[in-house]
Amino acid sequence: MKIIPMKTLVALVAVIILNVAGHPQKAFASDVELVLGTGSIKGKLFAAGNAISASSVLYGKGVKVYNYGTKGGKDNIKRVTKKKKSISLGIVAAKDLSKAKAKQIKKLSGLMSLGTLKGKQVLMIVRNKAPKKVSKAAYAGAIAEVVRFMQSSKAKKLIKKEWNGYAPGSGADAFKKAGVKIHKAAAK
Amino acid sequence: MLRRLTYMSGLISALMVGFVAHATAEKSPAEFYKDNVITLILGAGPGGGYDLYSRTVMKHLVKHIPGKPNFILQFMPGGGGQKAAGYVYNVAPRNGARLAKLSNMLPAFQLLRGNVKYDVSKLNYIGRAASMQYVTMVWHTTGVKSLKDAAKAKKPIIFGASGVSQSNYIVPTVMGKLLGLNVKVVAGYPGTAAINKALEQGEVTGRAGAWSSWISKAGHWIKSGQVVAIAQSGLEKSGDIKNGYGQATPLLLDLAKNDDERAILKLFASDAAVGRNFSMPPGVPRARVKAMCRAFDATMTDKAFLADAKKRKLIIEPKPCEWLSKTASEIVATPKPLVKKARALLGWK
Repeated sequence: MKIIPMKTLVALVAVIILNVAGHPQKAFASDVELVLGTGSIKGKLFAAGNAISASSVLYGKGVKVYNYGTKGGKDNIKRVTKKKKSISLGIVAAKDLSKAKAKQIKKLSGLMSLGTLKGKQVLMIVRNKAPKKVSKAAYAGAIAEVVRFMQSSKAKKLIKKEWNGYAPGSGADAFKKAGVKIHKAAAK
Repeated sequence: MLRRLTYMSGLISALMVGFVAHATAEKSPAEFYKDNVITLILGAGPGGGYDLYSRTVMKHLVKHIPGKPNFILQFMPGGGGQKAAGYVYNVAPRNGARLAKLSNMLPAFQLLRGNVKYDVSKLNYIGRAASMQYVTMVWHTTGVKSLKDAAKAKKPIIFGASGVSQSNYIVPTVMGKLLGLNVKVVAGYPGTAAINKALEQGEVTGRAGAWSSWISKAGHWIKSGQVVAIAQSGLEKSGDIKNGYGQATPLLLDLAKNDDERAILKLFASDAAVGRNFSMPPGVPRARVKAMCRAFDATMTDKAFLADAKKRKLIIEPKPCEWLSKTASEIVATPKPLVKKARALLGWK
């Protein structure tokens, strides 16, 4: 039996590691797909949603965020909390969130503050219940990944191109004020 | 001297812009798609048929596109698909990184409604995943089991519809006017689920809907005979759709009494033929459109895709981009006097 020299073996392992880790993974077999409700297709938040969506495939791992042009913050609260054809993530102004019904507030959590638009604080909310055919653990992991990649410098740069007011933060005060509980994976 | 300098710098800038533009245009499809993320724009919200077909097709399509790009979806509902169509036609970048899953009603809308912000004959179609054969069904309590029975019915068949520009309104209205059936169409239901509920409660006694939607949402009614198919609308007859006597239901197009009626029925059936279509904005470099068309064809025969579609109960009846482009162009070339007649038939001005 021919024994492979140690040096060759190390080099071989290094090549394999570099090949796997050196290139960004293009698609995960089990990417969790999340829909993010933004706003009017003519608005800044929709454009920012496109950048968030692109960032999810470029800088995120195992999660894909799809942008959904809705009627705005109040509509997003409705869609995040409704029973059928619901969405997982929504962008909402702090003012609109504080006006949400108690019934709706029970079904959502606060994830992060995204920045300011026309002087108003903009927040990201998340649906508590996982989408169909997605386990609780996978959903929690995907949400944590969204928070992670959205705070990465590369994603920040991409999103800022579309919306200059993007400045991710915890938004804990705003969520507390609105009576919304904060998600476990929320930005610190 | 200053003038000469300004002239020279202008010339250099123009040359550089030209060079950059040339370099971008010259990128082969593989080079271009390798570095890009494809965005699929949907003319509807998440959770429906558009979403399901898009996710299933895109998951496998990207494997066949040179450069194997990644993809994201962008939901753009509004105006029965008009908003997304206007965006794709006028605003979306024309570099090949945008795909669209637009409404199958666009060619008919362009003719019947007019004043639209797009021209379907200029869209770059890449293929069709399935037709949207419309099937007219009646509730079992009407006692109607075929189109012949419907022609003899003394009580009007009441069809539920969502809006006057939707196929669930157009198909029964046209059937009533051209075939002389005793029908009444009630519009205003928010969607298919609401009409189905109204059927169950006896509020309406019929609904025209896509065959795929009947199978996925009310398959148990078809099996138990609670709803009976009486006619189908499309350009090609499907032999699988049987009436209450176990016979194949007639294709409305075959019932035309003259060429004019046939042309009008063809126009109304165009949405079924265009079906679950995928397209690109106009002006995309030809090589990229061609690469996308061939990638789509390869996807439609991909075993993994077909297995995935079967698992999700999706009907797959593919047509290549050339067929789809020809069909769309033929529809929009319908003579104006016939379009006028078709509008009058629907009671539209």
